[in-house]
Amino acid sequence: MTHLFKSEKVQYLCTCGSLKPLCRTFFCRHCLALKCGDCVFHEVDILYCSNCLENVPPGEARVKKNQCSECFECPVCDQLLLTRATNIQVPSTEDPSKLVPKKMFYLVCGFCRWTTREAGLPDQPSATGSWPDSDNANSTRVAALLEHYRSLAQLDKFEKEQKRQLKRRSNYLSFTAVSDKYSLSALAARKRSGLPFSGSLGMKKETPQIYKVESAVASEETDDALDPDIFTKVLTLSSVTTIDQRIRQSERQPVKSEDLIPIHKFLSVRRSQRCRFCEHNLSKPEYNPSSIKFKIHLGAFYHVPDVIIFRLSREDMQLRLCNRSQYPTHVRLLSLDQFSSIAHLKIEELERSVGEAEKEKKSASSMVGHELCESPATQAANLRTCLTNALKEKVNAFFQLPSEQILLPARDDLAEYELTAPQNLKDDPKAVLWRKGNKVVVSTPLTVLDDEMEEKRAGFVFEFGAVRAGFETKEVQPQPTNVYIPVFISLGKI
Amino acid sequence: MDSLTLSTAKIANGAIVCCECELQGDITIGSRTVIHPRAKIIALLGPIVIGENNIIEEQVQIINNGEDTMVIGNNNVFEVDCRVESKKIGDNNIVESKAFVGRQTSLSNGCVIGAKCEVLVHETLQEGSLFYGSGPDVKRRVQSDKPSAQGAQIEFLSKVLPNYHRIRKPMV
Repeated sequence: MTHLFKSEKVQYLCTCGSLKPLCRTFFCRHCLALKCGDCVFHEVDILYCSNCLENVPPGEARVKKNQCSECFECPVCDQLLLTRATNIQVPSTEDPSKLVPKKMFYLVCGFCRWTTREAGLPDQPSATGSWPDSDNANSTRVAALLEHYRSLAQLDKFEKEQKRQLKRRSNYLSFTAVSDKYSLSALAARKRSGLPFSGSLGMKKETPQIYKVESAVASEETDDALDPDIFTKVLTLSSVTTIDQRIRQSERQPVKSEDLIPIHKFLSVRRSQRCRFCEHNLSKPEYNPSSIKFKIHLGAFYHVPDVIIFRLSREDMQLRLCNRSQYPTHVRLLSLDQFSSIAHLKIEELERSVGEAEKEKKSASSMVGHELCESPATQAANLRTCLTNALKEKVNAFFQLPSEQILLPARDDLAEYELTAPQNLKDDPKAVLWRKGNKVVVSTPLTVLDDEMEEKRAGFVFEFGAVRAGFETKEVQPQPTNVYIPVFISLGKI
Repeated sequence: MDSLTLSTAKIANGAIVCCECELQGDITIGSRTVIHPRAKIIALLGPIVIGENNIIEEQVQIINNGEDTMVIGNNNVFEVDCRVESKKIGDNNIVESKAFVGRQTSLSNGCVIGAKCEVLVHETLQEGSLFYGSGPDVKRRVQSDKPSAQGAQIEFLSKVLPNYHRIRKPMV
């Protein structure tokens, strides 16, 4: 599905100034603005194993080094290892002379047919959880280093806190430091020279101690000396590991392929996205790892009309518009010049109302949530950045756009199956060529600036009515606000 | 049923060879070998000798376009739509779906040619050689244990195939 709509031909101008296909953007219904993946907050919602779909809490994941304890990957080719059962004959516990069948398990790769038997690992009596973990030879050193850096971080934090306290105190000091009675001037001198606060004032907190760690010493002899056979015997490539395979097991880095052991599968992360400006959630998946649904999903695909090139030629250029939102909307296609004049007017109007708002003594810092998004100052700023970004884009072809508003009906899943006559809408037959359900095809003949054979690019600005979030619940009919989104279309060499 | 009249294939007792498969030229098929419908075995110049307990699935192409005899051993599996032109194939090999084994390559025993792998190397593959990956990124390694025998599958096919397909009579 993504692939079908992920065309790079039609690109929408995001609030941050980058161009993205519609299905790669979000539409914040509070700010009424496009947000792409590069200009939203990404938050880790859950960590889970993509194979066994087990949800792992973040604390536990850190202890397990972000690995699943049950699932393994092939050390040779990175595919998932499957558990296979075999029956072996073992002496019975009651009568050692008799043999009874016993189920044993081993891991096998379905792709390159590597098995744990090749690594010399014995078969396990239970299917999961009993595989031995590789012990890291450097684990004590790593732990010591970790401890050292943790203590450094603590000290850093402590100093920052103290600086903040000193700052708070500095006003008081400037009054009292004149007298040396309490040795405060020494303290002030220390502070001026940038030295840390010595604590002579009787600070309650103690400075955290730095965990000392011995520095590593280079030695002449190393453990991983080359095998002398390597110079005399013919090397069989299949018996040594590749660089990729060694890096994948970075703590062991086996040289021989028989030393490869299964790798724990790394956990995957499910993210939620948040608008940077108003901090509302744009996308929030359900917590259950096996569910692919969203609790909140403000993909622009479902809220902003979609454009595709319906027919591509100079005289007979046609665009198809499609509205996938649940509200009908009026769309107007504006040229970039029209947009700039409209935007200038709007900005003036908004700035006038900013002045009025200031009279009511509402500063931006006191506003929260809805108020901030809807404040005229924000809207004016948004419109201005949108305009400057849109005018930066290079275009060398122009559409002759229909001048009238076009109604795009709301999405109706049943409309596909109903054979009702199309609604009698007063469309300009020259502009609107065809209409079915929530889709409209408009005629937009092209004017090309230069006739040279080069890539042609044209742009226009969508003006459409969007309903701000939070208004649907009210009894009054939702009042759509006009939103302007510039769209740029690569037309190729025509 | 052109293949019925054209071919002079020698089919041993117990082999299951569907009538819809295409056999051309001098072909010998060993007992308990199963050949699915739509498989193509073509001996253009030299003969093809197929051993026992082999499975040759749909759309497999086994072609001998040289003058020497092409010998296929026992217990081999040729999966759907693979193409084999190799002169010599030993025992217990698996050629997976869409794989291609060229004329210069000979398989010894217990080799596996992975799905979509094209193997054209000028050598006789070492026992237990294994190719995996696809396109330009085919990798090889040697595995220690042999591919498991397909006895149960052959038994099942010999029971089921005659229920739905016409089977060629053994001809020695």
